[in-house]
Amino acid sequence: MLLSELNIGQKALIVEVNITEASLSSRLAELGVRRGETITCLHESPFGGVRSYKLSQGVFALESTIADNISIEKRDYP
Amino acid sequence: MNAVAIVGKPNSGKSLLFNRLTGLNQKVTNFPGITVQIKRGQHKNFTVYDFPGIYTFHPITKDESVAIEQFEDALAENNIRVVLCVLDVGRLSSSLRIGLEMQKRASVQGIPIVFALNMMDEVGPKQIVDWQGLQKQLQAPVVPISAKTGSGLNQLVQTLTNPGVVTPVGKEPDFYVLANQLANRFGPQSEEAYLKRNKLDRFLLSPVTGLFSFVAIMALIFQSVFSFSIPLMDFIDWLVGELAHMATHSMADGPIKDFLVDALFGGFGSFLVFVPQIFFLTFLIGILEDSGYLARAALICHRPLKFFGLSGKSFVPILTGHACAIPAIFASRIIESPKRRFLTILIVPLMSCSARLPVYALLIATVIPRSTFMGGFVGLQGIALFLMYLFGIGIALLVSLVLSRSKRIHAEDIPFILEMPQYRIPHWRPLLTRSLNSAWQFVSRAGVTILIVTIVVWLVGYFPNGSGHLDTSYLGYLGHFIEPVLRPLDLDWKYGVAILTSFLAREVFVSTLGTMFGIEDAEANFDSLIEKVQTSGMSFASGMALMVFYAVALQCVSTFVVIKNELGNYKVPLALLLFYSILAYVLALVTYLIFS
Repeated sequence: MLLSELNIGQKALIVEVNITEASLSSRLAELGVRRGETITCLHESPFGGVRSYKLSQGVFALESTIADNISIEKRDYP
Repeated sequence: MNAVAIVGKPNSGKSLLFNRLTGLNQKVTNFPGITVQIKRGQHKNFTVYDFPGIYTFHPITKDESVAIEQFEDALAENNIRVVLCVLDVGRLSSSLRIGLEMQKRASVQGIPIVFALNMMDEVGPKQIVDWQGLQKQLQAPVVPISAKTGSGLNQLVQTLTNPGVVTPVGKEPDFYVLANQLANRFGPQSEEAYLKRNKLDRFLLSPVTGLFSFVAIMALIFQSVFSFSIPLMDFIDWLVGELAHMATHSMADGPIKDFLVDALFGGFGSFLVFVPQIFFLTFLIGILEDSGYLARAALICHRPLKFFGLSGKSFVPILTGHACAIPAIFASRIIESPKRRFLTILIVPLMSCSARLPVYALLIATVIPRSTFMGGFVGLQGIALFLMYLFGIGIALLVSLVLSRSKRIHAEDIPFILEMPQYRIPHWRPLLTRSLNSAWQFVSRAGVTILIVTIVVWLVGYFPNGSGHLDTSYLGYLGHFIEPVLRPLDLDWKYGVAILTSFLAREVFVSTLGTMFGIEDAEANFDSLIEKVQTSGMSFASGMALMVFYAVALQCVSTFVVIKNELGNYKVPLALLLFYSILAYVLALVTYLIFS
């Protein structure tokens, strides 16, 4: 499934990051958007379009166009 | 060179530490990437440079690439004796990722690095931070500090004076992986801060309470600017009047007395009355920045602003633009998309900056009654001011919408990424000094222009016939010459002159009018300018039209120059000047027709 399909409050494992633009993908990798890392969806903007996620490097707001290109596997963590 | 360079991730408390070390009051904000210039200050042992925060060594925004360039240039030029890297203990992993990269770059240049482990005051009593262990692994001094409380600073200064030797960094590891390992092993293990933030975010970002609080916070800010500043404004008004009376009542009549009464007290003094509003506006915007709410506001605004061709991050320049367009244009550098950044720069001059405040305040006080509701907190004049701000934003969004759909703007578009900082209670002391500074800077920067323009206006308005004959003065001839342009708005030539002079800087409008009314009035009369404009018979429609004109026209030489510098050409600012002037006149005309 895609990161944009993850519900608020759910955790997932990042399986693949399909972003070809080099500077953007290396930026995301720095924040912790990389294969094998855990990601949690925290909040959505009242108007939509952007969600905040907990990543290994902190809490970040990412636009949905980014989340549409990240494949995840949902995990039921304790 | 005996210089220390403070570096680190944005929002890790560098600026506050810089203020602690140097006693200067730099802007300390809780919005990632707000420092866009290098600040310099002096500690008794060394010179301190505060560098813009570095997020990454793979930049995607202009402020990021500028920050890296400045850091690398400084290292290469051999100006720096020691690098002081600030780590946020609450975000240790991401701070270390940047810190390790910096250590590598400093070591290549043979410069020692010292790590300041900041925000130790936020570490809970049950949490363990093994800074000695970290120090051993990093092979560089680590000093636990709190820039907020000042703890650990003496130790830090000692370490900076004698930072030890540079250990060469061997094979370059994956800094991301290494930083995560180090943070997990030596950093605090707690979700406490994160959970607290999550709770607040649930309220401030929810569809109902989030939107409601956003609107309420913004409305409160603009209402407060008016409500809080009224007593202070009345006081300054009274003081200027008293001073004028004291200084001139025993003087003999003649040009010198006329000059003092009309130009100095009437012109310059009438501008001083509006300084409290500038102070309160900067103060309240400062609270938003320091608390961490600004990043949430950017998140909330992203989708709506995107529709207009802007970014959620454009909210920051839009808000700061209400204090002054110049820092707002610099703040646009945080926007990653070049296209959205360009559009933001174009519309920032439409925000009702503090230079417009005196103009609005004068006109609002003239044509709108001082009635209040809800125990005096909500006033009609405050609402009018709020509407003027909304009007500026509305026009800006429309301009951006039209331009963003035009095929003539070619620039790439990069999606929105923003770190959500932790919520913090603002430190009132730096906030207060900063607001006082900005009010003072406003007075001193605008003051010179205003004083010169006031004197020139007085000279050409007083001569050749002296007090009481403004109509037949040199200025009168000029005014009558341009009067036909003002006639459709039912404004007399004096306003035309004031508008012309305020193309240098808007706030000149008030002092120019003050001077002219002073000369016109042959008696040495200390009525406030508001009363003079009221008795001159300005209609409601004309007052509204004039406000609309000032909301749109680009009347600020400094903004013009800064746009030229940011974009590297004269074409865009010239086009803006022309376009906004014509738009301002047309909209003023429409406003007059609607209200008359």
